[in-house]
Amino acid sequence: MATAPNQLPTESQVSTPHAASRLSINVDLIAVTIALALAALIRFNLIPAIPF
Amino acid sequence: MSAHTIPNPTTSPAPSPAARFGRTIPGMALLFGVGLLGKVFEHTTTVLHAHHPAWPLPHIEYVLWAIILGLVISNTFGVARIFQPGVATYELWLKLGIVLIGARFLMQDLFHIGGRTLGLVAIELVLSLTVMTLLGRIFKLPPKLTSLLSIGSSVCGVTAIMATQGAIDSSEEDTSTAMAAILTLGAIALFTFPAIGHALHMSQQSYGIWAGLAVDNTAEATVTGAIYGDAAGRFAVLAKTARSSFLGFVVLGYAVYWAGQGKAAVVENKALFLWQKFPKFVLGFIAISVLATAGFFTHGQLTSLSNLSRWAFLPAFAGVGLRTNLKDLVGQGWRPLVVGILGEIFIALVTLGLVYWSFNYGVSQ
Repeated sequence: MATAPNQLPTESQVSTPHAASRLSINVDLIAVTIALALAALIRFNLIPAIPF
Repeated sequence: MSAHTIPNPTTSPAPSPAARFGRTIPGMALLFGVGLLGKVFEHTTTVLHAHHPAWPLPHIEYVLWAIILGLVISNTFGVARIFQPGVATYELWLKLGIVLIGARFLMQDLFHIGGRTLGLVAIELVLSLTVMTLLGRIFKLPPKLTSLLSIGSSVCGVTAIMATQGAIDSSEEDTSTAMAAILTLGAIALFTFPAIGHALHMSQQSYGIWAGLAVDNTAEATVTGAIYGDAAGRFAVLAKTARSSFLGFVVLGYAVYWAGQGKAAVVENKALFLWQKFPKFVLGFIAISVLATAGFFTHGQLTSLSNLSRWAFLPAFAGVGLRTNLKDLVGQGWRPLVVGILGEIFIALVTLGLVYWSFNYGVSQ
């Protein structure tokens, strides 16, 4: 097998394509859920203004 | 010993969600630590420059600092095993940042700029798929590796390759090689694109859309845009998101082709296949944009959401540096890399021309 392109575990190292697909969907859904939850908290002033 | 008495090797209990989360904490701390250090370096050089204008200090944005620090750690000490699960969460932070940045785009902007960008994406897709396929044949690459490189360079890099891997039943070797080529080209783009953008005096909008159209991997496209400027980063995300939304259609096309050749499983339910391959974070990006357009948030709340997206991008930028091992990248075969480089140069030039033509010679805002 060719050298792995990076040193970190990637989705391609998950045992089956189905598992890789599930992992990707999970990351997307977690990201969307967190983002919508944060948006709701900000909308209803449950967290203060966020500087950067 | 009879077969019935062989101990089952899979009896060890799977780690609980809490244990799996616990394993990611050191790596997440490293991601945020490197990102914050990038911000500290940017602030320090700015203060030093203000107090000592004669000192030859380069003004480097925190984005680039985070990547450089990540690259230095990854390529000198390496990323220890304890940090690896957490560093792999960079993709989650990246997608969280992309969804939240939807607050900076009103729907009318999405229809206006996004509509034009979708047209450019369609042209880019056709050209890059055609050119990569031709180059793969010229350089006699294995056909499935050519398919993976074509999809990776036309849609969204590693994510597209992983989505295609199962659909066309490609080998692990072809998948690894295609991913290595795409990651190498992404690393090159991080440093070449901003230099070209500055040399051509491109506007933030034009440069960002160019980066989103021409850089393959979502993480590298976002970083390549953000290095040029905050607005360029947002436009890069917009163009990249438009490109990603084509993922299901392109993968389906290749799956049907390889099934027709008898070298991949037949796709029974095409609508379900499209839904499964569609990147769901795009829906989140649109949902936040719809809420912002509907006046759901005040101006101050929109600013907070925008700042939150920057905080989410901070560890993602660090992760791009930390997961890039230059030694591994140059250790791959030369032919896929040559095909990738030639194809990417072509795509970069064509998309640059398209952006110049469609966005008022690159100077409109």
